[in-house]
Amino acid sequence: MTLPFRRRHNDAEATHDRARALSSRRLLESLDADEEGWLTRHLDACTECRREDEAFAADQELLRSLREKPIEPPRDLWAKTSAALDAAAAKRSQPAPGRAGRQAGWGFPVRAAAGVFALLVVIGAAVLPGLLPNGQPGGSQVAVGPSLAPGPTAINVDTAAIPAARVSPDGSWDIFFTEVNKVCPGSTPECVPPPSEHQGSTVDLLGAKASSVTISPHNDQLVFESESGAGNEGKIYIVPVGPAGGPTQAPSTPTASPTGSTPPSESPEPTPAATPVGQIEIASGVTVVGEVAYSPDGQFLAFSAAPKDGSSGPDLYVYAAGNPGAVAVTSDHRTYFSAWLGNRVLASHITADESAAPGNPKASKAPGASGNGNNGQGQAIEGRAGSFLFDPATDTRTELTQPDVWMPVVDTNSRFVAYWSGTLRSSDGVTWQLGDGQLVLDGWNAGAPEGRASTEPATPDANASPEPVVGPAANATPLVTGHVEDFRAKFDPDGIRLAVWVSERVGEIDGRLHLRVIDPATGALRPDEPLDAPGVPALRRFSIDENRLAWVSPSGQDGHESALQVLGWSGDTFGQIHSEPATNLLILR
Amino acid sequence: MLERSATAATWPAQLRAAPSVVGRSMSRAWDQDEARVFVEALFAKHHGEIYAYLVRMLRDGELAADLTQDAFVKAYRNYDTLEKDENARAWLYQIAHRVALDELRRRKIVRMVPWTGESHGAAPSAERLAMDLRLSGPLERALAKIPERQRAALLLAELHDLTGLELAAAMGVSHVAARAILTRARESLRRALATEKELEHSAEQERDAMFAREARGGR
Repeated sequence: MTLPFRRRHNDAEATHDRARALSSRRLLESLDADEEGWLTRHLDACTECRREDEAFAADQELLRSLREKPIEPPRDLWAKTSAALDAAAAKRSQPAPGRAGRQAGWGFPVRAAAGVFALLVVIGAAVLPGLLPNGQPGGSQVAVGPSLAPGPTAINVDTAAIPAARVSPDGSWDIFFTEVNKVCPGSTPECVPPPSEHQGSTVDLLGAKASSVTISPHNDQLVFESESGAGNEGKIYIVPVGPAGGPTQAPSTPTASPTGSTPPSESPEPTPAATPVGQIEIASGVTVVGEVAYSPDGQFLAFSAAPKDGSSGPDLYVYAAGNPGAVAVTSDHRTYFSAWLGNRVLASHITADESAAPGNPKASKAPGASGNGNNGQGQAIEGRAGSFLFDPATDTRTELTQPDVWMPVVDTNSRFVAYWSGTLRSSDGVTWQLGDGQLVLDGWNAGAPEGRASTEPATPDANASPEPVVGPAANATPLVTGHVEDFRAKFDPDGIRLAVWVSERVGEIDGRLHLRVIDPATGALRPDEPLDAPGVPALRRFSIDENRLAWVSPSGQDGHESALQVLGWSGDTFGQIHSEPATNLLILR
Repeated sequence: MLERSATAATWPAQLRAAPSVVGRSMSRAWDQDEARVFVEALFAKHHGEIYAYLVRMLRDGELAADLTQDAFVKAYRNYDTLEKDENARAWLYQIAHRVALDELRRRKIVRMVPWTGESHGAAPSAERLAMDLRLSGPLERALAKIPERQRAALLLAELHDLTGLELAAAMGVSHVAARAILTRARESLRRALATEKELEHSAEQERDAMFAREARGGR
């Protein structure tokens, strides 16, 4: 069994790790005879481990000595608790508001909620003098201040839960799902308490590259790249996670997702695996470039990855449920995964003028695309973009007809496409940035009926598909104004709201998020934007799903800590809400 | 005295590694009177140890009292998610653990805001001072310095006598992960204790040197 998450330099160290783990474990529960025998022999031979074993036992004694300092609860604890139980009973007997089947409780204690809410009052009062929030944890709306605008102002929205995680320095990831069913109009921020959380699993992902961690559509798997830990760098793993609110356990039976490929859990007994059992390695020796994404049905995973040693650029990889590992489906070392379109992959590749001399060592490691304009760097190699659709089920590839289409993203109804229309630029022929062009919205030609163009064998061939036009309709409208070095675009499930994250600097995770709304009748962009016009500050990962857009605001905004921000909508009515501030938040899909 | 409760054989699936009882499928109908009787019995039996656990986690007696109260209210609200009464103790620890972590997380947030200060007023209460004195040894300081989940694992295993499976359930992780966290916790504690002892030693040396200087000067 591989144990990818423990830092382990060699076999000898692994042996000492095992001894340490067993020394610790036998203070908790009895070891079996084999383990006990092995540990005894090892301790006889290893002075350092014996010393540690003795120290563990001594510390245990020391800890247990704390029992001699009894801690007595306050005498009025029962009186207070009894009153709180009465209050809870009274509340429980009232008809519960909100959607059926949804837990009405708060993800944090009453007092904590009160604390956070007090904080919101202070911030609200500071930012908007004369305007105080009127919510209280627990649901009832009570006026707090004399100048409060009367009446409920919240907008009810029916949104998809937001999968996110809090990452602890010790490598544990607390997965949680934020449920938003009320948002506040711009005129009354904080009109309701922060959204409730639904706790998921906690998993240990030591050494995981945060930007690569992605949860499956069924919330039952995480995929991630391990970037630290000797012997584990450059490996991509899938690890099962418990369902929302459920245990972190290896699934014993396959579910409707790549979980089916998970081998039966091996016995983790002899060694201290800090991870859930059942993880599988799907690639090694590579680093993910851009994002990893599951197909909508969860049956496939796609990503682009480059050799860990940086010797060449990325290729497109696809992992199918049940297969032993991910497979590279291109070999040009210049292919970048963009998005899923149904169960087909949209990807982009670069053709470059090879005669241009590489050699500028100052290569950016920006994932995917980044950078436009020459910025005076000189000696840039210009690249031309081309994009294609790849169907992993049939192993067929369809080139888009139009050139200079980079990282296209198509809505689920196959009506619109957002992409970088322009060139690319590189200083070394390996790492590419945006060149001259602009980020645009265009109509989408799906080609043959059923959205399926005629297909060819899995070799790139731009000349042999004269018949159906597949790709942008050549009727592009600029999406954002201003300088663009990096971007990500995603449509909502209705296919008429497009979230675009843009960064002005290469490789930055801070950027600005825009939401553009398309008039479904005309296909034109509406001039007004639900979010502030220059876009709101946002970290790179955002999530757009049923009736909501979620992102994490960077810390330092107006002196605030980072928080999960949600724009929810009901038709054309938009409102916003944010979670309690927190550090190390990451949206997982 | 604390006693071990559940055995592996009777452990319900939902508690094996479940991080939270909130949102769990119902295993029995929620009945107000039954829930109240159940929680009162639970309180009578376990409130002392739950309070002590929260005090040790948070180092604040008043806050621990509030959170103990919260934990029992949560137990009351989610009484229907407990499959077997014999697992109630570990289930209660699970709730208390989550409450403690939520509070610690909130505290980190509130610390970022200039307005905060002590929520109980500027002057620490007598109870708080007594608590600080009680937690002022090198072991307590070392415990306070290690990561929260590791601290929780050590307290639950060594002071509250949770078994490996109960520990996993209370912490919301797999049994294997719980053991690993505990191993890391022992390593962290060992290092933190060494640091504390070093600090204490150098403070003593400094004090001795000062007395020596004063003695020489006074002569």
